[in-house]
Amino acid sequence: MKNQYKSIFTGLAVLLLSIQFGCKKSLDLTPQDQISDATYWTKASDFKTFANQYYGYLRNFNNSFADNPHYDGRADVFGGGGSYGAGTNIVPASDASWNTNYARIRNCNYLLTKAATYPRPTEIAQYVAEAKFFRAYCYFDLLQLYGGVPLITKLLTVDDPALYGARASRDAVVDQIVADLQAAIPDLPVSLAYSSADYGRVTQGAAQGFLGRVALYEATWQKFRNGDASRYNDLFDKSIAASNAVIQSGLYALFGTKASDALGGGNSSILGDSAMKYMFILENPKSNPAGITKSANHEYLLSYRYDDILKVIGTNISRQANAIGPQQKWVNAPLCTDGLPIEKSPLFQGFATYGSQFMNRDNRLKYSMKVYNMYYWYGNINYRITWLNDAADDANSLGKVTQIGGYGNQKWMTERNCPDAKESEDYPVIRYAEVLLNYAEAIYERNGAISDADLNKSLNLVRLRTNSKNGMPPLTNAFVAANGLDFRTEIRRERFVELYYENFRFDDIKRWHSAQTDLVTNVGGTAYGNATGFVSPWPVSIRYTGTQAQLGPNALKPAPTNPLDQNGNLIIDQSARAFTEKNYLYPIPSSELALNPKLTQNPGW
Amino acid sequence: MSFFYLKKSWLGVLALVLLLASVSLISNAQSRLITGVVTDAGNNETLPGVTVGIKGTTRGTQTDIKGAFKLSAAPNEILVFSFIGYASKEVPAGSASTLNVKLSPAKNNLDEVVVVGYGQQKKATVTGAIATVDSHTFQDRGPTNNPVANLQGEVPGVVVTRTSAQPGRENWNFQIRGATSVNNQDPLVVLDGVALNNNNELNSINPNDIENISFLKDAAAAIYGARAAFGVVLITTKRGKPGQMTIQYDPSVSEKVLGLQPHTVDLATWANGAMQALTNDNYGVAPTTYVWYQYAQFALGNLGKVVPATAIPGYNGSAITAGLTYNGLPVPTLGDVKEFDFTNTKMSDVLWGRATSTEHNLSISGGGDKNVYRFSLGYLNDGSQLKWGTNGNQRYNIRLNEDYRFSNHFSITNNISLERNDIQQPTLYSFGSYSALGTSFQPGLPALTISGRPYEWGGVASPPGLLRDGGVNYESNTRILLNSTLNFNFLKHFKATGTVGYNTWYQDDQVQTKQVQLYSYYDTNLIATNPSAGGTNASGSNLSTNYYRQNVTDPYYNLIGTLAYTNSFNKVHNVMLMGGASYERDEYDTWNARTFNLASDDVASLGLGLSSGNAGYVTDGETKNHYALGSYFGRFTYDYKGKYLLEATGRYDGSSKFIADKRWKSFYGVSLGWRIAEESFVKKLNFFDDLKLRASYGTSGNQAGIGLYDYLQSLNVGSSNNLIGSTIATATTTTGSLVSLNRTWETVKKANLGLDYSIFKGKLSGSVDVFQNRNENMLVSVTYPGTLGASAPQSNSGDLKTWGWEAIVTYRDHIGKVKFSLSGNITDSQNKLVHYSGVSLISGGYNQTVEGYPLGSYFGLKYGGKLQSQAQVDAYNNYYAPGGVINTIGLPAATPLANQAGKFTGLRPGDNWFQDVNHDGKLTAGTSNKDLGDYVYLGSDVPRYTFGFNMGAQWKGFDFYAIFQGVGKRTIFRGGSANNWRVPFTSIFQMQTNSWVGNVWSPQTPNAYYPNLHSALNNGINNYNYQASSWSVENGAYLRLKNVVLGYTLPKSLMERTKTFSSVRIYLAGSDLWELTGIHDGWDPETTRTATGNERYPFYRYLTLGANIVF
Repeated sequence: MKNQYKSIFTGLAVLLLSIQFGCKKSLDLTPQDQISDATYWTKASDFKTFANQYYGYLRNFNNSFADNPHYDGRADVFGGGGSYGAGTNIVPASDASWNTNYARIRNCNYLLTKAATYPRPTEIAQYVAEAKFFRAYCYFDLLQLYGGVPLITKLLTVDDPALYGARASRDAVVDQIVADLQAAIPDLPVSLAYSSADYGRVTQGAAQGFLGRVALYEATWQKFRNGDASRYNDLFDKSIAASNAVIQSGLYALFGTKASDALGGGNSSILGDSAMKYMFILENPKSNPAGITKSANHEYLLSYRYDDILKVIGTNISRQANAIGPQQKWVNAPLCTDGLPIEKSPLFQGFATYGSQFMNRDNRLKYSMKVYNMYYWYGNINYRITWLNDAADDANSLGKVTQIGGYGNQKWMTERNCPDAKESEDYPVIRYAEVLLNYAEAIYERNGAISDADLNKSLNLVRLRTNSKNGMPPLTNAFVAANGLDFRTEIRRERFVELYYENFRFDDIKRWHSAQTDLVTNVGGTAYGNATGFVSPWPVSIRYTGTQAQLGPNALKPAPTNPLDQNGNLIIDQSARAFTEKNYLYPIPSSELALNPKLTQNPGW
Repeated sequence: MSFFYLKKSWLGVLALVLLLASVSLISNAQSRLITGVVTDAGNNETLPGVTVGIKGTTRGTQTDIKGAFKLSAAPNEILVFSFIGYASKEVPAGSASTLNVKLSPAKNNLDEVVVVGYGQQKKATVTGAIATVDSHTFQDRGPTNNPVANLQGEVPGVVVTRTSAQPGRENWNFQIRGATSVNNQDPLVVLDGVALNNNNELNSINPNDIENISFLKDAAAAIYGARAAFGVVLITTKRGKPGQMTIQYDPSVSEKVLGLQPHTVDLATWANGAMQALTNDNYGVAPTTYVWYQYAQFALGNLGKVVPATAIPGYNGSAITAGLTYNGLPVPTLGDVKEFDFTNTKMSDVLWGRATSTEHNLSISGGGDKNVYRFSLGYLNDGSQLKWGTNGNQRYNIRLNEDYRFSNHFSITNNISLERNDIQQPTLYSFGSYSALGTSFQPGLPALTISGRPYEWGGVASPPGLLRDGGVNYESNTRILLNSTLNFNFLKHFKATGTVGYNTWYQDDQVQTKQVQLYSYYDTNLIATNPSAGGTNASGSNLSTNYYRQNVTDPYYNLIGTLAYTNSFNKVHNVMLMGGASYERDEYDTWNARTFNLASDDVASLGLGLSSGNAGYVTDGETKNHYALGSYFGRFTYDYKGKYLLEATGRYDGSSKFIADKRWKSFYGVSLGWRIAEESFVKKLNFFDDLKLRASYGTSGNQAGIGLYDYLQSLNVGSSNNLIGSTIATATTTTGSLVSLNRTWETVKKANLGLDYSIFKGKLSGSVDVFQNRNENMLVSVTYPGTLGASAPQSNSGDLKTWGWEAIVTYRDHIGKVKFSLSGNITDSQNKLVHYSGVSLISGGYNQTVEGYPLGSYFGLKYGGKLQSQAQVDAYNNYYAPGGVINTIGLPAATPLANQAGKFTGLRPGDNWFQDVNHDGKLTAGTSNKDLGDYVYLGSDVPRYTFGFNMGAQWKGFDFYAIFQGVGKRTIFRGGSANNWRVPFTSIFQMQTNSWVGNVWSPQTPNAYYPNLHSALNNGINNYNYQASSWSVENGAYLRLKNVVLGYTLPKSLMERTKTFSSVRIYLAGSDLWELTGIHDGWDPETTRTATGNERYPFYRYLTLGANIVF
């Protein structure tokens, strides 16, 4: 028995001792399914892999197609802008745009911090440049929404005083964006072939195009608010130089042009004046009559990319687009084929019938919205059968547009046989047409004039892509003078028409400081009443909440008592926009103000 | 030196010891057989089941049905007779061969033993706040999926909650003395000396196997140190007792019927209400062209009918066009529908109904000189009230508890338990908002088509078809709980134990999503196929038929060693010293796989994917993690003559969750007791049987709610979901939260002062405790400015104070032959977030953490009343929006109506008005605790004044027992997705519950609860009326008849004649049969504030018929 006790006692002693000595190590447990930051960042591909997440920051169909801070519906393109569009928005407790951008900026700063100690900086220069590009991208979003914001360019810890810092000035934010872009450009690839494994990454052209956009935005913002001329002229110069660099690179061309075809990938010009329409719904499965695929698109400098197998959009793009309708104001914007606005053109056929207003107009009208007597498709159920515009195609369309309750959009509606939410066209983040229009506007605003040569290398390319065969003349100094037009109006009109439903308009109005003329106008729908071809008493396309207009689409009233405008078109709301000076910037969310006392609210909020 | 190496060597020693012990059994010489009968000293009735043991040994037996026993003992040994409810008696064996013993009913329970951390103590000398319940608590309760369910109202200081009534997924939870932290509030549960990894393990334990549960509520828990912050619960399972073999069989069958739940109205009530709401929306003019107005009107005209579109004159064969009429009523232009269904289906009644549950328990126990055993089998089949699809929960238990004595010094205790519980639910149980658990139903739709096929209308499916045909979600949990303890009394005063515990949880989930084809009522149209065939989407949501499989393996092991010394000096100084060490480790490992687009719906297999080669058609995942805890602990108790008591405990814990230099922390507890009743001056009073004052103070820790590796910066790696080149690129991303290197254990300081008393010869007894818990370095997620760009790490910067009191009083007596007992307990626990670093933001409704307020506080406007006249409306508008300028939040604007001259949008008589609490002329929402605006504190979601009272009586063979339970104060505000049942007609096209019927404001009923009916179409007037306010919060107080039992034990004389049964009792029990509640929206008062998902599963009442049969 004694021996037995000994062994037992030994056993217990061993147990206690084993815990004593074993514990220290047995409590050091490391994650089994995550990577340790301490052992990462040792090779260039680590940086590249980290930078891959940035491409999700780009605007895309999932966050930009319906109401969002830059949404066309918040401007005068169509309704649906909610309280923000109506100018009745209030200070929110929190705002995803604020938090998301700073989270993304942190991720950019994260890579930049790690890069600072990487021993072979040239290996990772491209990814450092990408981090800077995306940091600039996020700050520009913040600038557009809020104006000057706290400028965070390093990794913050919770006890960093910068966390409780004040807002940087607008100028400081712009300077930071410009500096980041200028630093990034030399280290980015000049171009990437469609076949490249890196296709889709940020290139020099994308960064230059973006710089052109940012500099123009801020330059006009300052100019139309009596800012410092030397500063805004410097920004105009930066914008012009950046856009011109893109133009001069020869790497980009408008889709559907000979110049584009020369860059390879397919003969897009056989689509003729409808090329632009098909560009927006360009997919790798047959998505246009010519069977042109994405490799022929040299217009997108940067896009949020989708793929019909690997990554479909996942929301009902075509159906949503089908349900949207432009306001009367946009419908009136495209020129007649003589290059004159409808108020001046003898070719304009008036509003006598539903179809008359679409006659002799800029082709972008019929390729952006549904016009009288044409057929349209939207993928699921109503798709093209033969792509020949023959009886089979027509029979499977949404039906010939003859009677309509309101204006209907058609941009972004796929024509191929595609189930709901399976579309895969790319979302253009920066496209060449915008670069050209930025260029023209920057030149004009910088100098108060623009030469025919500059117009022909920019704006006229955009205008004539879709109107090369219908006789529309280019915009020239002589044409403007002869017809008593206003250059600024025509340049802005071109943006309004070309960038329809691409969410530029609200930001344009803000930077032009033109809401008092552009937004505080009647929200108009289609003609109602005596005109023929109308059956529905309500312009169902105008969906407008937060104002009296809401009563319309909800159809609570049997008949409208709204007044008509001089064209006989229904005025949906005579005081639609309560847009005042404060509305040019969104309010800083109240929770952020509460969390950081140094943060000041935007004026008027 | 590696721990694991040593661990193995220790196991080797253990094996060796077992081997040696098994070959060296010692026999006991000199003993001889003693026989005798045990009787009640009062009425001389024989007492069966009395434990007869030999002091200082594990030898013993039990008296048989006639109260007789046989036992071998040496003359110098002492026989101990013990029986529940009687005072124990010690009798020297002496030389006589017959010993007849009389036991007296216990004056009090002073001899009872209480399980405490790593040992037992006599209840009389316990100094901590420890409550116990015994196996009676779990008797006669019908189907109990989790023993926690039976604790409601039973134990002062223990608040039991559930979130659902779904069998197996009730999510039973309990809290001891209220919230002690914002992080996890689960008490630590220790089963037979071995901690459970998490309290989900209680889902498969058999309540019938539980002998008793001790709740360590104060510093008594400190010996469990790091995890004792929320109290410790010690569960002891039943063991065999020496004596002849006892076989007990307990069958029961229960019928569940629906309890409180919101009930949908009939179609006519809906239609009239909808038309009223829409007319209100339109400022008093019926919007006769509006589609849902027309729909309601059409429903009224066609009640009980199904009108196929083809029967409507002018139907073009494909779509309902504008301008059609049918039987004189305009047909609502719902273009794509194939028919109009106005069946009077009350979907809530179609979906939910009665259910039957059965339970069987069989145990065999007994033992002899060397060993005792108890073997038990349990089976529970808990039926579901959801009448469609495969539903239910089954539990299977096998347990063997066995003690073996190798020698007088050396014994082993083994507990082996195999537990399994299987839960089934229909896969399409929550499929979109129109599901069984969705937030509403479409009015008028039938359950199924005329031939019984799944039904769909205009994009809206009726749930029954999806439930029945959409596949089954099977969850199977198998738990193997093993623990063995070697006990070694190696010197006179020393005892050592070594415990190995190994608990494994193995989960297997198999979820098949089948395709369901949904038809129109007359089967003429295939309306939809859900989920669609073949499809998938990048985010992996189950849009198509698919099969999902998940396995979890989670072994959790414990090694515990203790060494105890007990001695008594001069018979007055009683000392016990115990020390020990333990190591615990958990290894969690799970993987899952999903295959889309299956070749067949008939069998479920991951290999059946038709498109397995395509990206996105097969998904998989794996998660692995682990944590460990190393500890040293000790206890010292001292008492002087059993009168002055002292106990000190300590623990030193190290956790893998913290960085090495913040890892170890010590915790301690000290308690004192004074048994005043033992003082001679009190004894002279001859009034108190017991009077004991207790005080304790201690610290305990918490590491729950903390990530496992939070001190290490790690990176996630996975798909970026971004297309770069021609592939979806991989991306490394940050975890989105910062790393903290300086955080450590939460430490809760607990103080308790208690008084136990027993008077009137033990008839009246009870105790009162006051307590305070202070969590001064609570881990909180501080909200930092958004510019941080990441979620901040939790830091030890919170301070939560919890305080309260609890009392229990029990009265036992008899009137003639009727024995009865009455007992009541009540607990009040309050808390206040004393400090919370950073700014506490608030929003209307629920706020979990606001500095200066209790956890789970509600804020909202202060209700003034209903606007009774247009003059009041104008005055109100003028006050808050002078000149029509809105300076308010949530106040609908009063702007002129273009269509109705002289009328305005916005408020009207019958709407709520709210007070300008801060008198600034504006109605403003609060933003933070520093700026409440016009918000006021509306109460907390945390219940106060939880109480229970129970009564029992026995007369001859009959027994009766009832327990009431309730909450005295609680505030509930059901925001979020439950909104549409709280706010009538907020979704105009959906079915409504009956809460508002007959209780809506009108000039004739100015005091009705509900304001004007409105749909969501009108300027958010519902949002205004129903926002969080002192009007819209619900009073969560309730009183409930938790359980009532009537039993009858067949006469002994009858039993003796059967020669088979020794005791038979049959009983009828009812649970949750009645309650008192003031909730407006129809939910049970125990329903959560969120009421989402399976929280919408209706609560039930049940009746149980059962028997206890002893062979």
